[in-house]
Amino acid sequence: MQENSFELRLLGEGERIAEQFPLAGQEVADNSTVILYLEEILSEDESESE
Amino acid sequence: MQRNKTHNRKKVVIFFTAVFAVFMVLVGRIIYLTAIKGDYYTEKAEELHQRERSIKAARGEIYDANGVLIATNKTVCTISVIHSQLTDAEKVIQVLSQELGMTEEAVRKKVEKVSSREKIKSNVDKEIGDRIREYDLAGVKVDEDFKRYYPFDSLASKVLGFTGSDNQGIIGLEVVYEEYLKGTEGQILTLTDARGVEIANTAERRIEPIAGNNLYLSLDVNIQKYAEQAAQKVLEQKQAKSVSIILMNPQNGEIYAMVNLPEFNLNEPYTLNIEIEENLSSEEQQKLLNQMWRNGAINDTYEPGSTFKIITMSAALEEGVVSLDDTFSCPGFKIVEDRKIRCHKVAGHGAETFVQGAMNSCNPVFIEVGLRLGIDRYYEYFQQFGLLSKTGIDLPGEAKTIMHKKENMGLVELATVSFGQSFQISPIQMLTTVSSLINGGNRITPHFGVDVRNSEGEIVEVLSYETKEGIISEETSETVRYILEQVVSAGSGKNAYLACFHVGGKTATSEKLPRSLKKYISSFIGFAPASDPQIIGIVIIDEPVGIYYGGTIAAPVMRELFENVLPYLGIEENYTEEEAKYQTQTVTMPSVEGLTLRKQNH
Repeated sequence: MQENSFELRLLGEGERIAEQFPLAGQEVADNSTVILYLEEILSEDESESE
Repeated sequence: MQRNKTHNRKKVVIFFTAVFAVFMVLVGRIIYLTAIKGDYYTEKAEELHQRERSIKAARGEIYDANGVLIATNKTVCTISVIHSQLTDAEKVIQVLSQELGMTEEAVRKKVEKVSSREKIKSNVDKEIGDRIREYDLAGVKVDEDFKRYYPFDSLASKVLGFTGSDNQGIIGLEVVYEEYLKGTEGQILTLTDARGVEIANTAERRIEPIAGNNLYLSLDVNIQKYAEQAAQKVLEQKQAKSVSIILMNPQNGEIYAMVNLPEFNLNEPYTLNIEIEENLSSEEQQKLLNQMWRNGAINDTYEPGSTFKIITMSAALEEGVVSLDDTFSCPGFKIVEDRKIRCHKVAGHGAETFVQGAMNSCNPVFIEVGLRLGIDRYYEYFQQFGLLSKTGIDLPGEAKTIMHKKENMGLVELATVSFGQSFQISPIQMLTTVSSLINGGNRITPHFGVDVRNSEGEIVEVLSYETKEGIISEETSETVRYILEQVVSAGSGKNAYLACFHVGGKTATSEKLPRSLKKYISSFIGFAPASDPQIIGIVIIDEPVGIYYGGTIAAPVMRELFENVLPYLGIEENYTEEEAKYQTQTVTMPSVEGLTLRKQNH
């Protein structure tokens, strides 16, 4: 991840990455924002989703 | 004596008069039957001595937008026996059971039945039919007819539909365009004896069938395949129950692709695409088949959630009850009558303009806007936008919007409807309405059928569809496009952002009923280029496992689709100066799921 200029955004708490977006294998710009959902994911209300 | 003679003469006269009268009646009857009713009885007599066998007409073929054949006919055979002409019944039973893969018992039952003609099996492969013909068995008839064949198997299965054993459309476009596709059956007329059994070695009279016309669609096999792959990928990744994608031209309603995963094999439409328990009753199996054939994008409704804010936004802007820089305050909820309706962001979005409210997909902003419109005006816009009617798509079984009756609508209902809750709508209705709001305000009819051509390729009919102009003004439509572009470039829809194509769109996450089940529908509606939309699409992911936000899981699917489909449609990349400055290389996203933060940093 650090080889590229991805901007990482961590959602939730914990050490283990439960899910990632964009998904593995997708073609993305090398300066994209990557969201990593950690093991204990925050509730919808606390997240920044709609 | 004289008296007796006179009496006898009278008797003779009466007798001959009676005979003459009877004779005249008979002559009259003969004249009536021959001269007046002659044609009728000749026809009846011919009917009695003739046996008709229909010859299936070749059903019209279906082609995609590029002329790729997507539904055609395969020659198959119907095997039958004429009992009176059989000379070696045992050999017939042995050959037919072996070639047709039937038990000897089943074949024997049919062969030994005394009937004018007994059908053994239909839809038999031509190669098998040819082999049976080579045995030259007396009394065995091999007639050629057609079976529908779909070269791409499951591609667009719920759109194309399939035909039954009588070659008649059962679901999908095959049903809607039946009249154009079916053609006219031919006939084979043979002579029969008094028992109705065909007379051997008499000439057959044939009336040749007329092939059906060919149907040309807007569906593009390349786009459809691409959309199916994208849907399959997200279906597997999110272990979702189903995924639907529709891609359409928002200017004229031509549909490029419609995916409803899981699809099924059109060449084996009675084979379920799921594992089933053994000993399932035929009723239960039929129920599962009906479910498998169901086109969710047309036949089902869902609670749209935040994508419906596009409708509230359009009505409010058109009515002039809100402007782009109106300011709102979101404390994380809004009180309507006795109800506290929460925003998805409990802490609240704070002060925000209307555009920011749309970018944040803020519920209190849209509740306020809906309340400003009021029940009467909002309801008028439902009607004006065409939301309360069906879209008129050329597919069967379209579901209607399930909306509160106006008289039952209070302020709480108005508030929830304003941000897309408490009612149900079909995906095609949602997409069509948004198309009409961003295309300049023309309500279009979504469709697949473009024209009908005969076997020589000459156009027989150009299919036309209704358009209702001016459901909103061009100015309002332009403003809606601007807001929705902001939603994608810097708001909740940013995962659909493509620097070079100026995408507009709106995300949605709706909780399925009952809410306690915590099952969700994630969706995204996007269009591009925002200034002059040439394509619009909807992605709906039903019951994703894990992360379920529309902006997180549905918007990237649309981004990936647009990235590939827009260049394919010849839509040129258009970078702003700012975007060109920051134009970067693309890389393949590595997999970091399951890793710990420390490991991934190394």
